[in-house]
Amino acid sequence: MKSVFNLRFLLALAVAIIAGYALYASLYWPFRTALFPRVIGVPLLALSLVEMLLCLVSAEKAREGHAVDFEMTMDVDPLVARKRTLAIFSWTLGFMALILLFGFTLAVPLFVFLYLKLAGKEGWVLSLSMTALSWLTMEGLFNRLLHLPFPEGWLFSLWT
Amino acid sequence: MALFFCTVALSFFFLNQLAKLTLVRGAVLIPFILFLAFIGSYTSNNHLGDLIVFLFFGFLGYFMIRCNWPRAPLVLGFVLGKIAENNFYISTIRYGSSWLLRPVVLILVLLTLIVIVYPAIRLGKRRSAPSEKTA
Repeated sequence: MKSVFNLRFLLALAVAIIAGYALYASLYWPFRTALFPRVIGVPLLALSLVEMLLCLVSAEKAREGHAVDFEMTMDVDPLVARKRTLAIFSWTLGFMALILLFGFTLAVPLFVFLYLKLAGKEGWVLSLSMTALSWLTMEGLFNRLLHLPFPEGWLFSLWT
Repeated sequence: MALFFCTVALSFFFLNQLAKLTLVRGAVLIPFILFLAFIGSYTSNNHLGDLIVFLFFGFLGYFMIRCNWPRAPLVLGFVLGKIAENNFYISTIRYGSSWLLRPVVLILVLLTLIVIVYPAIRLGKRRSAPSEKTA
């Protein structure tokens, strides 16, 4: 038997907690500040509670006729899908870490190269040319042309 | 305005070439998409904190897809939230709760109810149709 405490239930619970907290916090706010959070918070709390109730009542039934803008493919083995999801989550977080450590200017070409070589298993020519292209975009377009104020990486700020 | 029309015209001009992007392997596209997404979120305020917001909403979007929650209402809420809050406050201060009974508001409420109720009715009809056939 499938547990009722599935991801759908937990997401609805998280939304209900946020809505409940927003309503509680707005009790101490002035009228103007509290008006909109209360008006949004009440239906949000009610709808998330209804969603939780629906999860409890029909835990094993797939929802039909609902409107979604995107659906995941179901023909991939769940284990492979989970591995791919974890991999892309890790790459995204890794890119964030690279940006914080080295700054955008170095992190972008480094990430593009590492991703193409390690995850994409691409050849040296393609990997190096894409890395050069990303560095050119970063340096030429965003740094030289648009003069965006990119912060220094944490590693470099330690030395200066 | 001229820039807008130029962008649209250029997009139409390169439409065939742009469509070929769908044929590029995911492994080649992903680093560039992530790069542009990170740059885009950073340049909104030139603050690294926006990257955390970007990651949070990225993960939230993934879990919403997993739970079959549509993401469009959330995006609409974020885009229209500030405008709605300002005008909601102005209406409440100016008219009190009586603004809820104005004709335009009533029509909008009616349309909203139709949008909410219609899919449920359609689903009910679809479910009853096969059972009628089998009976």
